[in-house]
Amino acid sequence: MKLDNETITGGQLTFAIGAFILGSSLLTSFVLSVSAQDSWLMVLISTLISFLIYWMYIVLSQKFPGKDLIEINDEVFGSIVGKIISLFYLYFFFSLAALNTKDVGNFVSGYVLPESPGPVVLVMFVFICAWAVRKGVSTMLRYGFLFTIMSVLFLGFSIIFLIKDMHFGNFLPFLHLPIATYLQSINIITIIPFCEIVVFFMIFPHIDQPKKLKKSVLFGLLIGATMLFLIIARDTAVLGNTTNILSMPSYESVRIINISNVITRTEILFAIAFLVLLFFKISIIYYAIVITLARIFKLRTYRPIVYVTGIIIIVYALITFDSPMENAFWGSNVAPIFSSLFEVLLPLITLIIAQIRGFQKPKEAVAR
Amino acid sequence: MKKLTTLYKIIAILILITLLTGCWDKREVDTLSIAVGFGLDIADGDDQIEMTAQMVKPSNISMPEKSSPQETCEAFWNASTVGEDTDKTIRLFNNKMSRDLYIADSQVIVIGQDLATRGIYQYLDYFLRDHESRLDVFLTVCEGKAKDIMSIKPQTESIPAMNIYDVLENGHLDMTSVSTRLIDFASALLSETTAPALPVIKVQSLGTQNAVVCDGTAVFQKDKLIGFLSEEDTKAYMWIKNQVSSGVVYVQMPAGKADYEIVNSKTKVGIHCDKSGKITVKVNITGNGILSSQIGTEDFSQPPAVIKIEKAVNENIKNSILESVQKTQQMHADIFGFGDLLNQKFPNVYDKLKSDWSSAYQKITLDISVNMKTRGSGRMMKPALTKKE
Repeated sequence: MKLDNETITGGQLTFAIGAFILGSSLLTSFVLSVSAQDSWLMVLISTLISFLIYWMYIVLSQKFPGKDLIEINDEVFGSIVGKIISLFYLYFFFSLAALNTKDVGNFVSGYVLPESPGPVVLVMFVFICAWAVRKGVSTMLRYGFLFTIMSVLFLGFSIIFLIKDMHFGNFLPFLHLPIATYLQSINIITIIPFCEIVVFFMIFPHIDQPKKLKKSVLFGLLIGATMLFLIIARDTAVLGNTTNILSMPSYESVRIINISNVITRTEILFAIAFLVLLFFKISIIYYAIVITLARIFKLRTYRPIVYVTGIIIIVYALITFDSPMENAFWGSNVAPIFSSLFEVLLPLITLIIAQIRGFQKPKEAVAR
Repeated sequence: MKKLTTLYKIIAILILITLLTGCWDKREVDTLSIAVGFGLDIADGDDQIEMTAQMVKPSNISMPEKSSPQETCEAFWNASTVGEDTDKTIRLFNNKMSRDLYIADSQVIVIGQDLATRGIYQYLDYFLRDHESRLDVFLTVCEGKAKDIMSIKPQTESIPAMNIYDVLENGHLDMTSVSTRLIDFASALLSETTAPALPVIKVQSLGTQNAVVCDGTAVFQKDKLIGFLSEEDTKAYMWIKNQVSSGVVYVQMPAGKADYEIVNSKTKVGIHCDKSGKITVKVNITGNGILSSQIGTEDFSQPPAVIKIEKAVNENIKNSILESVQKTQQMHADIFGFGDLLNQKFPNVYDKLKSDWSSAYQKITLDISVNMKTRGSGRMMKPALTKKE
């Protein structure tokens, strides 16, 4: 049973995953405030760990070609337990959407439009996401390429413009913090930007050639991780020890750009880029929520519930945190553990049970 | 059905009209008062500061003073308020003026000497936090009151704050002024050992007019001013910090004097720590220069003479650095960031020393090597005035 007949290509999926990971590039303070000058190394290690987790996602998805996460749950756990587990995922997806929407709110009201009421910004933002979701998955993913290229250009320019402000001594001392901070930092990077990709389980079935899934997903991780690495390395080199106290290091470092008073105060362009990437990320999470709802309630089409879901996301985003400080604390200390339940533990259990119950990769899919 | 879509379209248009026209954060230029500089002074009250905001009058910028002498049409005006902290004081401006203060365009924050001695972080915190203010605004300490120095009307520029900014930038090119942005100051405060250093400006009479000039460096311990360094020491600071891009070194030669203009230079600073705990900082300076003028009749066109002058320049730079570092060692202020350097290269040694860094800093020895290469002697090979035989 399919909710729509849209297909996406492997390349679109790759760039969508890249842009999705980059959607978190505003939130580097979660990591930088923990592991400071060694964060770049933590990104590399987390990428390796994420490779393994992504591998698990791919194996699980390929066991059930053409099926999304909710259908997989139904098959593996039976329809009742499966539904309960799907409800957990639904909750998780909702919280992801709300947290990211909250980040948009924090950013816009903190840096761009401080006097505008938060709800207005969020309503307009989520409305655009809803519009994208209604257009369907292939329309949405088509923009992944554009957005990835856009962020490559922006990142490239910002690095070129900031070369004169970079001090490579800022990366030292190397590995001089307690081990626990490194573990925490790896946990944060793996769980927050990288493994939120679990929402793509709702998109995997749309791929036109399931054989290409592995290649496109892992390549997408590579793009996202490389860019995140460059962003974190740039921020550390430019801002030095002040990265630890700034609430949005990646935005502050582009604010410093000043080429002999000619190319200066360009940060609003970067703000737009950040918002575009967040738009892409939230749209995809949004889409996953809507499909999950449609599957759980056995709807024939998902479109009627798009706006309702949007309203729930807005309300949820408005009530989640009392303050951005609470948000940052959650991001550094609670979220990595909380989210790993849904991003690592549940898929792993599903995979193990599927293995025990003897679901095999269908032969015809292998032959094709 | 068709009617329904038309209805939707009308609703959408209505929503867009209402949502997109109004904007809470709209700030029109003619409702803003653009601040280009701030001055912070100690106020007469015990714990209060006096803040001077310098605002531009855009309509007067391009207008020359052609009208009658009584009519002043300066392109700026200074307003001062007194309050407990920066935020409260800045809000006072908004309460009292017809326009909102817009601080994103401020170029300099001038801190009065008296306030600097008392500690300034609490007054700069606002500038670090506020979404409008920028981290690359210049900080400077002034002799006397910031309020006074900000009302010295420059001759070539129309706005004092811009003038101060240009003076600082020019001074930086000429090795007479360090350049410290707000973020550099914050970074030095965050470091456990580094002492912040800010440029100093003062009023000096240049012929008939008073002008703002730079005058060495102010040395801080945490956020409190503890002393000043001369212009010569400022040069040493810039050499070590690899900030020299141009400037002049004056050398005494056996016969007469020579001015050696630096064209470019690069400084590499390394740190060494031997087993007994002795810390040596290695400074390696390379660069190019031009013989820009000379006093005396010595002929520098021969290779041995060039080597002689290079040697003298190298010695001069080396000695001035040594002297200045000694001065800061007496002040217990590590303005060069040697502590951070130690932290970067030898974090374990640093951990042991950081609690008592000021005494460890005094024991640091320097190993300086300077290697300047002469690129030319200007348009002349030999001086026009020849030696009398």
